[in-house]
Amino acid sequence: MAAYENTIPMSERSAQSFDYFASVPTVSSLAQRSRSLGHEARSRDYGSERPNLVVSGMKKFTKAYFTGPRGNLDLHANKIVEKLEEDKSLMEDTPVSEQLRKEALKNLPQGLTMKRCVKSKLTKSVSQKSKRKPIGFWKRLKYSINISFSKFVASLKNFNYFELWHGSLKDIEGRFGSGYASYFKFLRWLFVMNFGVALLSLGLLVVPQIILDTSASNKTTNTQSFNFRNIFIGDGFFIETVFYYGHYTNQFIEVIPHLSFDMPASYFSVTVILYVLSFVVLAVSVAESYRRTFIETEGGLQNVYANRIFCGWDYGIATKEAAQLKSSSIYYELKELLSEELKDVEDWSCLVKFWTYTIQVVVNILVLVILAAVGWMTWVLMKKSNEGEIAVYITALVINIIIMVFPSLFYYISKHEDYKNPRITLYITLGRTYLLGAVILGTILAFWLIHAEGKNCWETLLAAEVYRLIIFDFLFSVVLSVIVDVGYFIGRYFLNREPKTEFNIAKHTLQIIYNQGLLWVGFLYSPILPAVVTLKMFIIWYVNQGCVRKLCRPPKRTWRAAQTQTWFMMMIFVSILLIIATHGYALKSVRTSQTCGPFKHYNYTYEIVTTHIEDLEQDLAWRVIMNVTKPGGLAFIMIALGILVYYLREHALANRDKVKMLKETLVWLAKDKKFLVQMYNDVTKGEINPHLRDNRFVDPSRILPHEFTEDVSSSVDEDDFHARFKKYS
Amino acid sequence: MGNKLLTFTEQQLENYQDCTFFTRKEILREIRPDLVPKRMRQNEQVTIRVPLEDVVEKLPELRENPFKQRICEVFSRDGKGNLSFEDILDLLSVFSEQAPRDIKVYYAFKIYDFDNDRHIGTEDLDSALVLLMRQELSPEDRQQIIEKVIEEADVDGDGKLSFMEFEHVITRAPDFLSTFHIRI
Repeated sequence: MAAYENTIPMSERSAQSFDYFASVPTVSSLAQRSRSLGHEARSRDYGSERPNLVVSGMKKFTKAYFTGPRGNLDLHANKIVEKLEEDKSLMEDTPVSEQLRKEALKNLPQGLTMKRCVKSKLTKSVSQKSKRKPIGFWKRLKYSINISFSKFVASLKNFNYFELWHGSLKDIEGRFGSGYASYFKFLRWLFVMNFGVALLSLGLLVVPQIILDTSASNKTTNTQSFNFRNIFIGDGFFIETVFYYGHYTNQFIEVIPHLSFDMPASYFSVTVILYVLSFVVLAVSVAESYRRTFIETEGGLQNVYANRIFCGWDYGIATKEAAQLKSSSIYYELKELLSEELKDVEDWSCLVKFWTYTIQVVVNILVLVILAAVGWMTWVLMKKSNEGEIAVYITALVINIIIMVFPSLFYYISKHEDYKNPRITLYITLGRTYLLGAVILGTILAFWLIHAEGKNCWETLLAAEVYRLIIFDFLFSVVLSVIVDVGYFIGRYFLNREPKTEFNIAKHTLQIIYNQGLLWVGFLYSPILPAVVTLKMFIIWYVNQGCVRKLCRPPKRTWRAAQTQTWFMMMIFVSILLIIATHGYALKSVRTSQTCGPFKHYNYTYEIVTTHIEDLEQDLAWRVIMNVTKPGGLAFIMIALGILVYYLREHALANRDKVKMLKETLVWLAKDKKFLVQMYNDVTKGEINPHLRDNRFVDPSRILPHEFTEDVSSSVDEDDFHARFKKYS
Repeated sequence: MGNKLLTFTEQQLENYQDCTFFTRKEILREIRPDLVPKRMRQNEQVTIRVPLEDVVEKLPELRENPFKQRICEVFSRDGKGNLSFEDILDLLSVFSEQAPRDIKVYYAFKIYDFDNDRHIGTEDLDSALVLLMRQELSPEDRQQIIEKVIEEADVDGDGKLSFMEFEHVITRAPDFLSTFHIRI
């Protein structure tokens, strides 16, 4: 596995030749692909005109690096086609190999004109050369299904949600960089997910209930009158509408004769399925994001300088001021790095270190105490909120004030804690703010689940509480904070300071996460909540966009979007996990209210599942499932999964060791090369090659093997040679 | 799309779709009247070339890019920076979100290799720093930074970065994919 690079002799190198060439698969690609390198082909070219092809790695992936003569497009294309034809799996006339050809073409690092040329030649040669093997009926069927499926997926891609708000996202990215754009992308993704959930729940739950309500046979009147403040509080008039769980019937809806709609079953299954779907989507996104930012980039965190230079420039920037700011931010970062080299950070004395650690521990304990206090206060407020009108307002107000004020408090505290790395400070503040939201939501849920026994229709009251919080959060975090920001802007303008501030990405993202958590807590008991939250997110998008455009300037420091995004996704994933667990507990062990809701004739909500399953007991499928879920079957499945996980982990560890070994080999080979060149220089002392007559040191990358072999034997005195060579043997 | 002076056949659009990372909608969006020279007929997407200064004017993302000269040179067929329509499509395809990391790394290496010697040497790094910083760094600082970069990334000790070493550094960088991206 030599690491040598072959070079074209200088005479043939032209200024326009820019096709590159590597003779081994890269170390990183080895680490990434855990299959064996069966197809590795290496060819050494000592400066001739033949193009070289290296096929590395995976079965279905052809990475072709070419070198070739400049000049005729046709000639070059012919050579590429020649090399591609060597791979048999690409040349068949089947749809599968057509897909492979398309993939190979896309990954070819050549210009578009060249690729089109290659494509036309390839199709011509395929149709000429391949023998039409008779494909059996089943294969043809399978191929046609595959093709239509991939065409369907491609047409979906043409239609995908990347189009939504594309123009404004591009504008923000151009003027402010990709840090702010990452927040807006996150918001858009959540918006689309909520929109889907809202559509399904509206269509399958709310609409049937409304149909029932308006049908002639079942007119119910609302006992409460409508008051404007009911929109904010969510009770009163709304308690007896489709907003909340309590209004849904537990009968079969049969407005159209012979077409009955089982409301309880529908309610249960739609909500549960939507929760599970959201969970799956989030899990997949988190896993992918984690893999992309942490696993594949392992070990790269030491290359700070190289990263700053090569990945520092944000290619999406399109305005002059953003570009100016970007280049000054890179300048400051590099200056900071350089100055850190000079200062010795490890120079802290023991006393200073001890003091810093104590402060950090004390502050963390203090924060935990604060969080506990917040939880206790929420509990007390919940207790009081059932006693009167004003109390309801006060609860929502206090909770929202806490959520607005405490993050800034945490940020201020963390600045005094002297963490080594500013990133750690950011993560710790984010973690604390997230815990604050989690404590509040958890207390609310716990309160209602515990006090469920005494209340009439507790699910409705819980849903009303959540709705109230969402509306108040909208008022505070959107309306009020816009007013405050505009006020600051005007104030600074009149004080002749810089009016535009930076957009606080972390704070806004956490707001969205809190919002989403509220949605998931309340969705089980209020099918209309996703629609409300979708509308709220829609408004948030436009408000934030306006704020950013008018009141904010681009960030001074680079926002490391990739890793922080992964943390945000993980936070959301943990939220939905905990909430689903709590709801599962509620469905199983908390008594439903007997006077309202679709489950009022059951004691516990999960009983609906058991009653339906009893009907299926005769089915074969049921018997299979019963057998599989017996302890023996489950144990078998668990053991098989455990073995699989162990195997994969060992595989990964073995690959890591292989990578380390290969890196060391590379370094040793480089040292060998240097050593040999040094030896050559010493031995010949420039007497051989006319180029070296003036005793110039040989440049290792310019030396060519044929020069070496050809000239050594010519004019050196043998004894002299051996005498000098003895030094090294 | 207004007064379309040029049309593409179905076959051509499908060709483009197969050879780039774009979807059909994105390709159609790219045929902006300000970007494409007027009256461009059937085979002229290959032959008509837009000179470098005009390209830079028309693509706002390239206007502010410090490496715009080098990017145009890399993607043009004659190496001087004059791009035809297909070259521009190729450029945007490589910078799009769907392009895989390997292709981006390959082209990034070509862009940063200013003297085309298949290595990123100290002069290349120097030019890159000058362009990035718009000459705010002093020469000693630049020298120091260059030394640090070589120290970090050079494995075989020849004082410059080969493609393998560059790829090794870049695939470990978490931000590469998000910064090396132009939204069309």
